[in-house]
Amino acid sequence: MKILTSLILSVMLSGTAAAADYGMAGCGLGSIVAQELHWDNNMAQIFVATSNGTAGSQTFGITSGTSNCGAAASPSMRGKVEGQKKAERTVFLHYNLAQVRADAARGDGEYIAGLADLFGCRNQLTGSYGGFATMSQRWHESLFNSNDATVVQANFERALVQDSVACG
Amino acid sequence: MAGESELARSPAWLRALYYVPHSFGRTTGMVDTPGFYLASAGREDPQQELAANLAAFRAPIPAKADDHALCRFPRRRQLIAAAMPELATGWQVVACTAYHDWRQAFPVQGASLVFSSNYLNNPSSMYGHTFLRLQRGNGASQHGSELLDYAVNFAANPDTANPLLYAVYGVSGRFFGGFSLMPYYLKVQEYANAESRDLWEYPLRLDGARLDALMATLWEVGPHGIRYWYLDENCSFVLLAVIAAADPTITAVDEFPLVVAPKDTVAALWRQGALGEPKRRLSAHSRLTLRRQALSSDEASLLVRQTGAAKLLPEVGALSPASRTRVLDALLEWIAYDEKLAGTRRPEKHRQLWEETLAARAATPSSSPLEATPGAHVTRPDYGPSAQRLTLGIDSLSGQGADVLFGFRFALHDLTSPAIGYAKDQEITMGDFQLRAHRQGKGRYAVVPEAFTLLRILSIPAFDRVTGAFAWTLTLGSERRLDTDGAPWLMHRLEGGAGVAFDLFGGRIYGVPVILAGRLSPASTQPELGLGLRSGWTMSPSPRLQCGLRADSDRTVAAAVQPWWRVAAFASFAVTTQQELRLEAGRQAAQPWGARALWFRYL
Repeated sequence: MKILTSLILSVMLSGTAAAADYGMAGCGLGSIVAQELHWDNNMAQIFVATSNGTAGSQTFGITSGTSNCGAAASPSMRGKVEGQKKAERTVFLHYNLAQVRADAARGDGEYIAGLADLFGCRNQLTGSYGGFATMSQRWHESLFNSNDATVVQANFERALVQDSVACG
Repeated sequence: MAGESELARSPAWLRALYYVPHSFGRTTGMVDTPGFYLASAGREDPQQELAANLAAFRAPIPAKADDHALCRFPRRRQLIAAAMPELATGWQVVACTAYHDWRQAFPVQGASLVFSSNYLNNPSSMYGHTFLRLQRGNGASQHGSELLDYAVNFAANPDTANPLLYAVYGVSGRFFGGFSLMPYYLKVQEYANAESRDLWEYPLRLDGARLDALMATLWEVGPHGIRYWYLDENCSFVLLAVIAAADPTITAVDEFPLVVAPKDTVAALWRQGALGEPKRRLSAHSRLTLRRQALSSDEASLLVRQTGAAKLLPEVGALSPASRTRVLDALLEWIAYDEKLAGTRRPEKHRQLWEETLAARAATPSSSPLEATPGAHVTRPDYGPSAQRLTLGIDSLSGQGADVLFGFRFALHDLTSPAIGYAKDQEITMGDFQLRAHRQGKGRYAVVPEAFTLLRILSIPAFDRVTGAFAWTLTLGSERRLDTDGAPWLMHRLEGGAGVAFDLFGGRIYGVPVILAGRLSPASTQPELGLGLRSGWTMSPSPRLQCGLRADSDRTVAAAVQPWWRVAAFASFAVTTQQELRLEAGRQAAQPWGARALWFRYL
């Protein structure tokens, strides 16, 4: 059994959210970003033969799920979808920051590819994300000037505006 | 109605209701929270349950349409519509918005069964854990990032943090288990990074219709709870039932009426052809090992020096770009492993080194893809024998002619067996009961206890300054020994200790001093304390062969009794996947040399 600290408590289902629910709250992931989630391994686990993840099992119920982020949307919902995508990126960074940073420093890797995917900078036919990875390596220091996923997400947004080739 | 009773008896209907065989031959539904079975006897009577579902499908639509049975049970709806289409045409049209929105939010084009293998120095992790990865997509893209897929997990929701209570409650069905759906990267962080366990991803052979059925059954069972019985209704068994609910041709769920180890469910599905070739997703420890293997000896010693430093050493900057790349990459993996960087954990011990290494690596533009080895297939979880086994053997180590040994073990793997499908340096035994038919004279045998092991753990990772691994052992059990006059007595003890292991002569040698408490000498009338040593050397000349030496000794602290010792040489051969032959020669204190031949039949 893993001893979790500051466990996530609830995620709101956003399926019927009002049109004004842009951003993280609308995506239903907002409450996650503020929470810690890591796993402690200690000798107590010698008695536990199978690992039973309890990472927010109430939070991530099958039907309440992670979110409705990423669903195809009508033009009138576009703003909401953009807010949802931004929330997805922020949550991804929040929980994968160490690996994203390491991959960015290397200029390659699965985690930087995942971030590229979330920014729409991964070619879905060829799978390539080289431009995005190169940009993350070149501007590593300024992109990751904080451990706050919200800040890092905004840094990437700004960088992509300045470097349009990165998302080709 | 003929179609109705036929459907009620069909595997598809039984699987959709999560009917599974239990001990004593009964087959009943395993979901434990109300609302899943609509009939009062829905857990025992599939026909009655079907009738209740048909009635519920005809019921008026409530104010919240999503609460209607047609919306809550899409899998049952599919089955009934396929078996009795004339009934389905009479159903009302219901707007199941919640289900449709959920399906649209989670487009799935494939599914994999994922098995998390063992991690360093925790033999109980060899049992493993299984969960599902749902590959997101609508069939168009094959290059989406896997990390962004979805994971479906079934796990207990314990209400205690006490590990002993957890073990007791887990075995006795006190916890409820529930389902969760989350981004796959959370599971990768938890298992591959925080716990450093390799993940074996086996694609499930499910076509479009079966994938649809999988999502439908998850929608039905997802909000419900199932009592968690560690031995036979654990995570892996429940997942097996979920897969069978989507694909009723899968019979693996019928193979485990008594106990089930997660590894065995993978093997059962593999045997049935339900799984494709696995992909191994490397743990933090495996990535570190690969990076270290790519280092030259100079680079490797620089890495060792660097792990003891708080800042980046100047020598690193003086390396050639290619060399610097390799060292920095290995260092990044080491920090991530040592700090268990996963989720929201940030470096604490090596914070400055982490920042400096990242900056230095970003300034070195050369790439260094991790050359993932195909993975020694002997460690694949679908390989190797099952957890439970029968023992039959002949033993002359008593020095009094040949006795017969026989016994049964619940789980899992010991170091004298070939390490196919299991770690080669970890052992965990739970519930091993051995008896001896002792020859007392011509044609006369007396059955006596030989060894009862409730728990035995032995972990012998090679000592490594970079990971700091040490060897350790823990045993709770009894065994038959012979005193100086050759008279048998039963020794009972709890023992434990830590020591060291390292590679030698192509094998692994280990020595673990232990402290014992229990009945440690034949004349003792109350519990005693003792000291001892567990040691040995074990090697594997080929994957199916394991051989080595063992030397054990212990004595009471009181030192009024002679220390006991035993030495043995053994060789074990995996004749088939589920059969093993072992030969041993050895002796114990004050006894002559003897030999033993054992045959193991895994079940």
